[in-house]
Amino acid sequence: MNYKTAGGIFLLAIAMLSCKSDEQPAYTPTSYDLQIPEGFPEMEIPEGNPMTVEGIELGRKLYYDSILDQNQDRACATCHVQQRSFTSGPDVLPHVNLGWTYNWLWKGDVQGSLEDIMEFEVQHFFFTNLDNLKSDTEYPELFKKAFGTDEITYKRIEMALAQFLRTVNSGNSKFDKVQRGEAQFTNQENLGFELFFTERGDCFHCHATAFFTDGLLHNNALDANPDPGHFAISGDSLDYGKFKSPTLRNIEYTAPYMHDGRYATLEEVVDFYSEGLEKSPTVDPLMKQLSKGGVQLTDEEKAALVAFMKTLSDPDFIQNPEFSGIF
Amino acid sequence: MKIVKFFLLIILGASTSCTNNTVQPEETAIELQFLHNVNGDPLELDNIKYTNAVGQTYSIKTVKYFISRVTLHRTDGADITIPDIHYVDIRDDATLTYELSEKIPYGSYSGISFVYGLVPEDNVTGSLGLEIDRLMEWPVPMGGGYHYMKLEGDYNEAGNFFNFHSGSLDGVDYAIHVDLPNSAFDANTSKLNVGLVMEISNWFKNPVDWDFAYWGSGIMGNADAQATVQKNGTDVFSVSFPSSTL
Repeated sequence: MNYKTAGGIFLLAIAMLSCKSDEQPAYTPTSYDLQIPEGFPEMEIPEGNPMTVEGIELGRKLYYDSILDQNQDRACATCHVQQRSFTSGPDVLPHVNLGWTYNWLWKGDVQGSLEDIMEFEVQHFFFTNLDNLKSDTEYPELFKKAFGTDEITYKRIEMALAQFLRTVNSGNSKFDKVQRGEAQFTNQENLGFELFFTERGDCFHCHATAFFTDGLLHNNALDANPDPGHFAISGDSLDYGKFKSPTLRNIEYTAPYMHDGRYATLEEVVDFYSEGLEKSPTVDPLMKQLSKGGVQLTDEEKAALVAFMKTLSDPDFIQNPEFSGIF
Repeated sequence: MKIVKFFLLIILGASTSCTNNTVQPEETAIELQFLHNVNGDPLELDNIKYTNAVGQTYSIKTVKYFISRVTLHRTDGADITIPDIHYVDIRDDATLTYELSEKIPYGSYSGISFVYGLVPEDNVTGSLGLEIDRLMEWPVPMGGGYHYMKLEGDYNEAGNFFNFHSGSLDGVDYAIHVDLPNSAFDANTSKLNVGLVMEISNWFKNPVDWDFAYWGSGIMGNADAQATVQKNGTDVFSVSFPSSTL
């Protein structure tokens, strides 16, 4: 062995030792295998926020914890009540199948991903005080498990909430079971199904896709002098009176209805679409029977539409312990 | 001698690689620009200023549609079909120009054709992604797939709406294979702009004068109406070549 060889071995040994001493044990949270209900499209999950068991558990705990509120008065779940498909009143859109949502809130205040709307909720609704979480006895460790660091940031709170909400999916209603060949509609539900998906009832244009919403903003002819709606956000006069189409999944659990909760029952909602439409300049032309006041359904047809909408109820969803606040 | 052969081989190799690097196939990118006219003039949205062949005044508020399978026909008989599907929304500027995903070789072309709507193998619910599903889904109980077009407006008075929605119905395809008249061109530049003009008034005439009151506000489930839309649509599209760039 000459001096060059010996020197090389020495340097290599030093390098190996130094690598070993600097190296932190790699932290790998447990990857979560999201089950998508049959008939639903794939969910786009941001590369920067992969779903993990630890991240979802953290998100769920945060969802039910009033620590997010700067005054610690209320949690997400205070207004988003599982037994009511994660709503509690007209101001609160239900938290269901949000992983496929792009327009947020009734007036379309926010566009983007779940992380984007959680940023709005955490920083501009709850005005979360990070010090409350940092000084908590549990959260630093839970963040470390979820993200490999106990440093608590707004972004990591938002990421954890988004991960949890991507699991909060409803796709096991009677409607879904009929689609899978596991159940059958009654004659009345079947009539409602036909009315819903043809221009006779004409519900499908706005309540489209597997989620029973197009997620878009429309003026649905509620008022002759409508609430400004999305105009308040965009400033575009064409957006006057426009509100987001809500999902009809679990609609039975989410009364009262419309953005201002003016209708207490589904029967009242159907009456409105049948004969209660009001003209205003920005009514969506999809409300094609506006000049007749509505689609003019018979009593039998109205009852059938309500019966069909109730097949979108998913009792498993509102009782699922994985979404509950019981840990 | 061996050294001479060695250098000759290097020079030969170098010259061959230079040839490969410098000779590029001569190809033209095609950019489509979607234009919408009524009676030859650019469409003015939301204004009940137009009159159809049966004397009804009307406005246009919504124009959303698909074109697909654009085909460039070479004079030597070879056709180049681009397997793209493009969605157009007159209120979304980003959809009003579109570069085909494949370039075409330089040469002489006898014309352009395309499919208004979708061919059956492209017309499958869910296949175009959730964003398009939200906008254009056609209900499964009526055959599924997508609306080919949503053309909407008022007739006679504001709030008296028509929904001129077309698509396949119960498995019957009402797409239109459009051979654009006067669409011969020479591809000899790096980019060719092609104006694709929809003359909206032609949906309402030739051969059938469309009566909004007769057909009703919604026509999706009406096979006669869908067949009539298909017939009237054969002369709706034309082409213009506004400019080309080197």
